[in-house]
Amino acid sequence: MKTILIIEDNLADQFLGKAIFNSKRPDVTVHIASDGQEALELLNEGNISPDLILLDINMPRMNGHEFLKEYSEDNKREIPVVVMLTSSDQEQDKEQSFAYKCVKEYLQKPIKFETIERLEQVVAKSYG
Amino acid sequence: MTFEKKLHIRYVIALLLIALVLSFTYFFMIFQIKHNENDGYIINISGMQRMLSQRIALLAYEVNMSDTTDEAEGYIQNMRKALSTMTDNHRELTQDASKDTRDEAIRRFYYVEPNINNQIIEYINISTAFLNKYEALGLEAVRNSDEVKSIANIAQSDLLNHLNSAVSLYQQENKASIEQFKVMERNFYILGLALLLLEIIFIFYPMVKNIVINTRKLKTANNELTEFSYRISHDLRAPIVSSLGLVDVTKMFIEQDNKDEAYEALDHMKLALVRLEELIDDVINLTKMKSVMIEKQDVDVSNMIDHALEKLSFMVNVKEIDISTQIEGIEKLHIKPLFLKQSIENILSNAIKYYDPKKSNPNIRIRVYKENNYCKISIKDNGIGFPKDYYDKVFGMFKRFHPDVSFGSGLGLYLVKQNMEELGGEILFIPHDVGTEFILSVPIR
Repeated sequence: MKTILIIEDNLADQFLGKAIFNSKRPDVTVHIASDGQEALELLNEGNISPDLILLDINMPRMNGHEFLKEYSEDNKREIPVVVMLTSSDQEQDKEQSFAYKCVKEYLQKPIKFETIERLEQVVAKSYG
Repeated sequence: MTFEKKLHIRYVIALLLIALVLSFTYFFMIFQIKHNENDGYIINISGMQRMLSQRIALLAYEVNMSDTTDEAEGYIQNMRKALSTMTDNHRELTQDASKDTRDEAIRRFYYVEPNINNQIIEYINISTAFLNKYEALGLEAVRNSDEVKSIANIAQSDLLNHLNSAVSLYQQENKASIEQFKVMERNFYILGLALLLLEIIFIFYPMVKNIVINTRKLKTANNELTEFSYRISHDLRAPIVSSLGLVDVTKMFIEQDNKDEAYEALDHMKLALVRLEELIDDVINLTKMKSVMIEKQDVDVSNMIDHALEKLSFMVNVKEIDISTQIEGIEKLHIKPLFLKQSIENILSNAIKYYDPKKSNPNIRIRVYKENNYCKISIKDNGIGFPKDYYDKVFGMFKRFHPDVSFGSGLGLYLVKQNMEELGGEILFIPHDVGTEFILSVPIR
């Protein structure tokens, strides 16, 4: 796990994600996109190729579900591992997320120090 | 008048009309049946008169031809009975012909031309004279008498034809009356159908329309409520969850003696909590608006705007923005003040929140003017504006359009729209190439 992309509109959660990764895994590069739209632009420009995407659901402009739909339809390259990180505990959100193969895990906010280990396991398992 | 009351009145009128038509049809039918019964009876006895006139003549002839008084006596008895019946029948027929309800032609036939009343009376009188003569002077006195000849003459003359014609006249009148009844029945049928059609137009159709509209409203309200509960559970949780995470990293930064990062974490925590407070306030306002009865008061719009600006003067950006107010001769409004106050504050705070720091002269122009009996409050800014794709969603619940300026409950404009509807006015969103304009429109009295 070298590069990750956090797609999150909330400034506090962006800060939290960065702070936790910086302290536990300073070698990992953390990119931030404020919503699905910005994430699509970043990914399609080809400047970044993350091993893992941490994806929120409730965001303005383009939410998590819309991002997954657009991205899986649009992208011809290999889709990275996606882990949902959201404050929604709705079954409907969970089901809708797991409809996409790239989604490997559904985690509840907030991101904690222990979350990093869980994410590493998911990434390791997915890339063999 | 409310829709329900209007419908209620229309229903009562429709039912009364239907009851009226039904009653009228019923009584008309009863009348017609009685009329027909009477006609049948009259036709019957007028036919009997025809037969009796010939029978009396025949019996007078038999008496004349009898050899003995014993032989004649039987005929005399029968002639008496026939004459009595004919006299009774004639009384009934003349009484009936004198009625107003009888056709004029029948009355004329009886009393004017050919005046069969006279002819029958004459026939009855001669027959009576014949019987009286027989009674007083015996068989030989009446044999070949003038009376016998007269009876035979009258019976064979026009009387028979006239009695025939009378029967036909009664039959014709009855037929005409039945035709008239048919026409009336058809008219009642058409009237009934017309009433049903009116009921469809004025009761059934508006009712169905009302049900469709209300169902649609209920569906929208239900969708809003579902969305509301979903978003509220998310938006209430999100800042708390963030803050919990931030507490852990703040601790870590303090342990690392990294003051700057610790402060930043605390700032984020504060922002999250402020956002939570805003959301709670808006939700409270939304429920308050729907439940509390507020009295109407005289409101000075100019004062209200001044107070709103004063209240918002604590906002961080406010000193960067040039705010001007222009009031063009508007009288006092008589409205529920809370609704307008909340709306003005909300639009103004948006204009301040979403100002464009890149502009050399960020400004907000407030203009109050009168148009078509409406007080218009235009609030125009040259801020960052709305993205074009979101124009139709501006007044939706939980809409936030600016990811870079990530605060606000997303309920504000929805609340303003509800407020303005409560005041009988509206809010208009006027997109501009640069910035945004909202016009609040409130009816003057």
